[in-house]
Amino acid sequence: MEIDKIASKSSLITPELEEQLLGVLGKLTGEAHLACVVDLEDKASVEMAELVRHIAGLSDKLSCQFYDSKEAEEALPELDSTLLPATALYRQGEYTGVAFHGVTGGKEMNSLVLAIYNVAGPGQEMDKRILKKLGKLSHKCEIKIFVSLACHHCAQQVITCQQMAACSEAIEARMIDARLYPHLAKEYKIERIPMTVINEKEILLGTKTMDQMYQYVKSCK
Amino acid sequence: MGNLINKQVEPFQVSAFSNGEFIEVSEKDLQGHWSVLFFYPADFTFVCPTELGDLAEHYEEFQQEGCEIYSVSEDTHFVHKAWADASDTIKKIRYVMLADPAGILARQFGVLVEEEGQALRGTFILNPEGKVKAYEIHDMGIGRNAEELLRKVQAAKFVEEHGDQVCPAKWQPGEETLSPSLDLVGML
Repeated sequence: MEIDKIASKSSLITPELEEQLLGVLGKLTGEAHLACVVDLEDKASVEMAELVRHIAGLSDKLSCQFYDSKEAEEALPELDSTLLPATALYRQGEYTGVAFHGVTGGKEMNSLVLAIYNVAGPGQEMDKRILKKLGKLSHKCEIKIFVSLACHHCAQQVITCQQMAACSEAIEARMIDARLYPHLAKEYKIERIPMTVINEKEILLGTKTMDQMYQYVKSCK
Repeated sequence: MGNLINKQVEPFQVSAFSNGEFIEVSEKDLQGHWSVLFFYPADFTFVCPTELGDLAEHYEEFQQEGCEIYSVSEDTHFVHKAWADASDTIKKIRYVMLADPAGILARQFGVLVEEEGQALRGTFILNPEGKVKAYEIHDMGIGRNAEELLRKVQAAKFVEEHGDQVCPAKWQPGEETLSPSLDLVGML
């Protein structure tokens, strides 16, 4: 997809927010790539594409590329491109398991920025004991975190799960804005958020500590 | 009277009208299950039957939540019976109608208008330990909504069972994207 079709500035990023973002992104020690699958006929997709392009333009450690769902099927088979907009983080050409379905507005901006910080480095501090255990996980674990952009608890849960995903090849953690996908809200009977679904088996409500999340992930084969 | 959240229901004993019978109800009857105390000004008025009828229609749903309803007015239990005999709406009520002619309960919950001897439209949701977890007080003429009350009971139960780290998912299709806000203090 031609990047020129997407505005380089997002109306969601105010000058004050841009200042804050520059402060955080200025700390990055490594590189991260944002792949964004969008339908430019759709308002949410356009918003997310502009947001991603604007953020990627704030650091020379970041790059981005845009795809329509057809292109994504071939180029990004690991990414669920049925829920658009879909944005995933890559490190050295590898999918990190960190993805966002929806626009990372509201509180979810915190999730996106911390995900970049954790993928590119230096990353949030992490308990070495849990890090070691995550390295030993023998089964794949797919975590979906259903959120609402106004929910102050949701971002915390997304951050916890995506920090784990950034450290473990076995874990994928996807933020899903439940407002955007009413069929999923109906399917999963979502009445309260954050709602976390692990491997389609375990359903959790509210925020969990990383220790708790590790126990769920470990037992949910 | 200050904030009533977490107020423990104090000892009381009142007469009541329940399914055609007169019974006695005390604070002990409110223990072990969720309860709603639903104050209204007086029997034989116009707004009240509407509210009480609305509540009667949703009574089964409250029971499914393990919640008992107690309507309360400053009338006697005999007046409650007379009202049930006279009104088709009141006749269908299956929850307990407490009689509080001495104002014991209305005073305890701060809804008694002393000079009129009537209660404001106060609704109090009590947990199984008899503590107030949510309440609202309306002026005399402002009616309440049983569906909204049921939602509050469900929310109160949910928070008690799961803690308060969840938000209701009340999104609206087509809602604008929220402007991003960054708050990473202590997270980097």
